[in-house]
Amino acid sequence: MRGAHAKQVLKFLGSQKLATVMMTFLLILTFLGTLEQAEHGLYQVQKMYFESWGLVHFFDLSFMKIPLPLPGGLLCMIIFTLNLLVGGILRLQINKRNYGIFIIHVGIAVMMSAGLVKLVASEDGFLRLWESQVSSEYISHHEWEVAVFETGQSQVEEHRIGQDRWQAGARVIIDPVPGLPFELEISGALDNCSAQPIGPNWKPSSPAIGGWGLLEQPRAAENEQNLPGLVIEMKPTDSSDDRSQKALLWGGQNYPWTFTVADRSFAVALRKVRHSMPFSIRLDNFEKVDHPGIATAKEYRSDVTQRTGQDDRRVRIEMNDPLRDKGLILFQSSWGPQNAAPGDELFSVFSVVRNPSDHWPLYSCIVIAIGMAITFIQKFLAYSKQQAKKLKEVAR
Amino acid sequence: MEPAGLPLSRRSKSHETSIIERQFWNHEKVLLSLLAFMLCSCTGSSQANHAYDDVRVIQEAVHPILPGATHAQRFGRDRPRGSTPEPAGAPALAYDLPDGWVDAPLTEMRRVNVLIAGHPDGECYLIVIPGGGSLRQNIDRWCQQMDQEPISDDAVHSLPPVAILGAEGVRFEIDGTFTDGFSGKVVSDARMVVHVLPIGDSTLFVKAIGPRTLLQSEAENLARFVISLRLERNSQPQQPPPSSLRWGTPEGWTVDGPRPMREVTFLVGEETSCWITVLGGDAGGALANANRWLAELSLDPIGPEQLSTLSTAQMLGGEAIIIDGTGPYSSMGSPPQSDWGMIGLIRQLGDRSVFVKMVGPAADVAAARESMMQLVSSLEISR
Repeated sequence: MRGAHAKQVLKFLGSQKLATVMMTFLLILTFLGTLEQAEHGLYQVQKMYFESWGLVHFFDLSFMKIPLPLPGGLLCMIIFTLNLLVGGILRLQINKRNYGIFIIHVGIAVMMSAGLVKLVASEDGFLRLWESQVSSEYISHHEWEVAVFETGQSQVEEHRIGQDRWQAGARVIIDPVPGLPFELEISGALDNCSAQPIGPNWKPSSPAIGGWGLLEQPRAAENEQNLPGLVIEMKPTDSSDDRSQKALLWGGQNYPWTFTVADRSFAVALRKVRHSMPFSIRLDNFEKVDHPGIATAKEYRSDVTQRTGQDDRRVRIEMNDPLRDKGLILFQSSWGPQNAAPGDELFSVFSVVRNPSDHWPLYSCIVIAIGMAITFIQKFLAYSKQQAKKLKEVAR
Repeated sequence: MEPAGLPLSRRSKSHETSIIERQFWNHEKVLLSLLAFMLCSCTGSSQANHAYDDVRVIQEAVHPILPGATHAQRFGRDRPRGSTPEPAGAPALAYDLPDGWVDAPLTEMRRVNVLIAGHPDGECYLIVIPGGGSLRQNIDRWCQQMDQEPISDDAVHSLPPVAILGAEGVRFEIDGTFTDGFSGKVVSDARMVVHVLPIGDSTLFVKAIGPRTLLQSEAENLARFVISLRLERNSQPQQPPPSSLRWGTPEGWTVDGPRPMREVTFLVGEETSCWITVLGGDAGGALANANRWLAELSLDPIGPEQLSTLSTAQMLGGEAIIIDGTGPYSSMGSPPQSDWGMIGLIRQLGDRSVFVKMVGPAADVAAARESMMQLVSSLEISR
């Protein structure tokens, strides 16, 4: 009985009907997501339509909004991948006639897995360098963190609290750890705000601290423009020291908040997530070649020195020719300042991606191509045989 | 208290239909909310305790650090200078590097940074700090850094003058065991030489620190280095930016030449002058500035409650507090001028603070008070 149920479930999971439904949902999500992108920006639409389990899309008519609940792209793609695995691999009666079909399904499963690995394990950001500047870290485009460290140390240990902890305005207490003799309380986080001196004409969205407050702003469509803010309170663990201190942290701040506990000075910064690289990059030379007569870049490239330990390697990074090493890819993505006058010093901007499944789509395409080649050859041979047989029968 | 992880509880109504709200099953939020719910259920508490996510070890801090920075400094418009180049035509600090001295990387605070004779422990750098504290306060701090007792007031007042950037500052020198409060670095048998120059409401410091023997042998080079400091324009000279204020010059007053950090300086009498300064944000706060001015007249500092009782005057559409007094006037180590007077007004506009200050012999200042109030009432914002 149980076996029959399992078979039914497997049959449903591997059915072509389920594949059709999932592909239809993916088509609808792609269509609606593309429309939404104009108003809400790429990042938020990606999160809502393609990296979620479910969502409600509103058809905005002039007189009312009609809600349409939809499965999220993540859910659809997981079900679709299961459908492929069950229908195209597990339930397939493999024989010499459908080797190609089997291989094609394996290739598509690899492609879907690449997407999942990228979603879960990839990191991306940017690295901006002036000529002669060296850096061994890149900065996330979208993710924020609170970093706590002791100042004036020859080696800095940054203790970090990710955005997910405090993002929704929750009150979060971070316990003391060895080296940090205080407890931190984070509260009142705002997704996008500005820090302003308290004045008679506005009411802060946060408590007023030191004559300043945070003023909540509507979320910008381009997520990079959103600057979060929060309230942080430091409470020393030494019970004899009751000098808790409170401050505002803001994403656009010039300096971290500093305080002293037990004669040691600490700093807390609200910043974009910073990722360390296993090597450093020094920009030796940046070249921008303009189209004749206008200041629009025709091409631009960066000569860099990659230093790993004591080994130096000179690399040229240009459009479509990135630096790939140790799981990281550095693309030439931009330059600035955009309002630079001729002869001004320029900086170079690299997009940095760490994606464990970077090459999987290539492997997937190769596998799918092999599967398709086998299938087509088999079909062609079968067709040839059939035609030869027909010709023989006609000849008789 | 609010439950941790409950999403979107603090959003304003204007954002109710924003796109994130409609994502009712974002996996991270669901997990966080479930986790928060479970924690709350188990502990009966509505807040969650967490550990840090991770620890990243790096060789040096990636942020400019300004210990004790005010909110105005942290959030204001005076952003720290880093790799961003100065605007074309802006004057740049230049100097002649003595033989064997080495340029060190600039930091956010150090606008000039060199190693004395290339010695890793011999640093010489130039910084400019808004306010900067009184000379007395700075010298006390330096004495503490060098593990020495504070010096007497007479010694402070008799510090030798020194020329820096075409103006007259003072030079302070001390030997001892140097302890850097930030890095914890200790240099025994060290010497510290600091040149101090007040410019407007900021203070410029050229500080040299290192082994005493090194600074002794490089004393002449250090003096030449300090004298060589100058401002140079990279390209064609630019006119100074127009002031953000307009004013009517009181009768009998003359406008003096431009001074760093000042919108305008008036010569009121032989020894009496009056000037207007505009700084971003709250410039450290009215109380700190009021007490700095009172200290210049050797008057006792006041507290917040006394600040609120000070007399006020109408200025730029609001009330400016007035700080006035008489006494021995001394600013940044200048010899005290006995029986001098000062009238200062502070008006905070939200994005900037405006200071109007007049100093001179007490009788002259009192006589010019009415003219000063005419100046104050004539002030208008031009941009």
